[in-house]
Amino acid sequence: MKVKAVFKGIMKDWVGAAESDFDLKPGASYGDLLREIHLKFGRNLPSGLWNRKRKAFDESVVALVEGSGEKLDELATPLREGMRVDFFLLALGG
Amino acid sequence: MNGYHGKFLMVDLTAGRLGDLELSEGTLQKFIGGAGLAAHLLYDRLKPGLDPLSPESPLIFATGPFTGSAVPMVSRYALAGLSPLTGFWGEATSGGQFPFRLKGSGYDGIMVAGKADRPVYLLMNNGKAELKEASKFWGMDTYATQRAIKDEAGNVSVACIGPAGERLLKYACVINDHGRAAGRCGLGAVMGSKNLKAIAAGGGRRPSWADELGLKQLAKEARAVIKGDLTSKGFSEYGTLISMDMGMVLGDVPVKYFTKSVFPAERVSGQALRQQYVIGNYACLGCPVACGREVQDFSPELKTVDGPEYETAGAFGPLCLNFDFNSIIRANHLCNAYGLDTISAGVSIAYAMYLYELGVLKKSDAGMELKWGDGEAVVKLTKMIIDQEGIGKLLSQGTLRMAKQLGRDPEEAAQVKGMEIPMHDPRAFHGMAISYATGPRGACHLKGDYFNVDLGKRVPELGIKSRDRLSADNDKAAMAAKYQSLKDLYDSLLLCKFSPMSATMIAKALTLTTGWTCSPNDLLAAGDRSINIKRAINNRLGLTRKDDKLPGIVARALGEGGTAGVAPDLDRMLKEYYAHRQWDEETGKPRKEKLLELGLQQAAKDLYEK
Ligand code: SF4
Repeated sequence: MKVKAVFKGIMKDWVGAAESDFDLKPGASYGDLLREIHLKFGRNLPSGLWNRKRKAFDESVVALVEGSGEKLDELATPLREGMRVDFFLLALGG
Repeated sequence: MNGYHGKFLMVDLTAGRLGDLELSEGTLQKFIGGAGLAAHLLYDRLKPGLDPLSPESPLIFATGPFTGSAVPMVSRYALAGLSPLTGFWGEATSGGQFPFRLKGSGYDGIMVAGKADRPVYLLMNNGKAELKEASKFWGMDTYATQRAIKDEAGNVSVACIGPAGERLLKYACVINDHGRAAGRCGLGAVMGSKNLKAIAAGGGRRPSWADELGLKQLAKEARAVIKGDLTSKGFSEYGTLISMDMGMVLGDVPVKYFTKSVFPAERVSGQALRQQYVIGNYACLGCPVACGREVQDFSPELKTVDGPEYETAGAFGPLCLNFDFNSIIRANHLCNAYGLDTISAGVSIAYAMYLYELGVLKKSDAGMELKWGDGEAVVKLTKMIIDQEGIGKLLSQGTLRMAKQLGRDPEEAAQVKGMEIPMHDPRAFHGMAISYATGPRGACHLKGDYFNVDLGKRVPELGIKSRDRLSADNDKAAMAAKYQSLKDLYDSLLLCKFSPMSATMIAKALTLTTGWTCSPNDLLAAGDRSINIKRAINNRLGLTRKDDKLPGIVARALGEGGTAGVAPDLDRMLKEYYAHRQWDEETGKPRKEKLLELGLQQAAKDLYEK
């Protein structure tokens, strides 16, 4: 299934790409998407952005499903065909 | 006593008299400092019906226990009094150099009362204080005032009002260190009502620290935490505008006077600002984050101008459907130069545009068209507010008075208790609905900034956890109450809200500063005390349960974006919030037992025995 990851704001600077398309196995989860992202961009990520133990971005990174604004937290959350996931740095305020 | 000088400067402007107010260690331990201590000091001088702009109305400048220490992100001060905008408790904080200088002057703060018979400023330096003639500065903008007073007084930092404060505009603010603002609640007008143009503070006096070496070590650890904190890196890189695009996706950024939430965020983001202008960073003293922006080479007249913060860009930008940075920067500059709160100004302007679209306000009323997205109109209206020209007079009253004067339904006015709603839509984070409805100064996004919790910032020591942002379930209101108390305490400690220090680390810092044994739960108790004394002040000023609400304009679900079809269940959350706080659901007062438990005996007496 096709899923798009979009890196917004400073995430784009850090990951080194504005977006990337992934072809995941049917029934893939959010964790699967993260694994693919890490395989593709892992070498570029600044220290602290990737949590090796959890195999996910640091908790300061927020993943939101485009359109609904649904927040993805659980790695087991199933993804849907054609989904777009936007990644932001949790920096809200001021 | 450690961490404090143990005294405030008392200023009676009517008599031209200065004196010291000694503070006991017990009082300081109870109220900590900053806005919490200011509430305690104001409480004793409060009379129901007291006009915020009368000479008797006190105005308090307060530092905190960390101010002047090596702990990072602590050069802040609190300004407090009665708000001419709301008629209730008012407070605002600001950072820069001024707070360190104020404490360096040898005082923990200042309490001003009375009214000078001509404009004056207060000069404080190394334990000495005097009132100085300021007629020659009256009418000057805030930048010119700061320069002129520094020329006259030497090595000082200045907090001052501009013409907006002199004209007693209801949301006039106080500006320090170029363009840092103690923005909300209209306390600049209180300063203006006293003929007090400025405070100039200098000196290097530091109190003793309970464990100086320990505090230095902790400051080092705190710097390491900040260095490793990704959010701090983000603020450093793009300033507070970094949140514009995520805010849009979540429906957090209010658009077109709170009636929409979808807009081209990339046009007014931190990245866009950096692409379009030459940007420099600005930091409060001792802060490695430097979230402030300065725009260089902005125009032939304005070489360096303060960059807009997120709130300002939101209020003059998407809220007015305006995506033109140039106009946002100019409106921000006008507010800083003349001393006006950008949030209340932007929301009032957006309301005027909303009314224009409805046909309530006409071209003949405004002297121009008030079309959505017209950046020039935003700048022009800001100046008209400041100059009290034409429709600017109406807009300077704030949205609630605007609605009343125009015979509109007050539910249309985007405010709580009279103070305009900031740029975090409560529909996007239902915990914000409870923060706004119950905040001690009206709609306040800083205590608590619950959006951060619902996005994943936890406070494990106090059991504050992330929940579904669009729901009232799972103790949302009780959690929001706890977080509100904690964030209220930041304004007593005068710790920047962006500090990534954990509650445990903050408690340790307070122990090393003062010598008191402090735990995260002690911090929470002090925050609870501060919230409750402010509540008691408001109750004595006439606030009741029915003032804890959101206006219809933000309580109805939107049909688009990240909050489509969902509105907060405020009634349910209020019930839970009241139960958690032990506030009476009928009257809105803290229960007597609660006040006594917090050591607020006088408040218990005033609210229940008179
Ligand atoms: S993060 Fe920004 S507001 Fe906070 S102390 Fe640093 S410069 Fe000041």
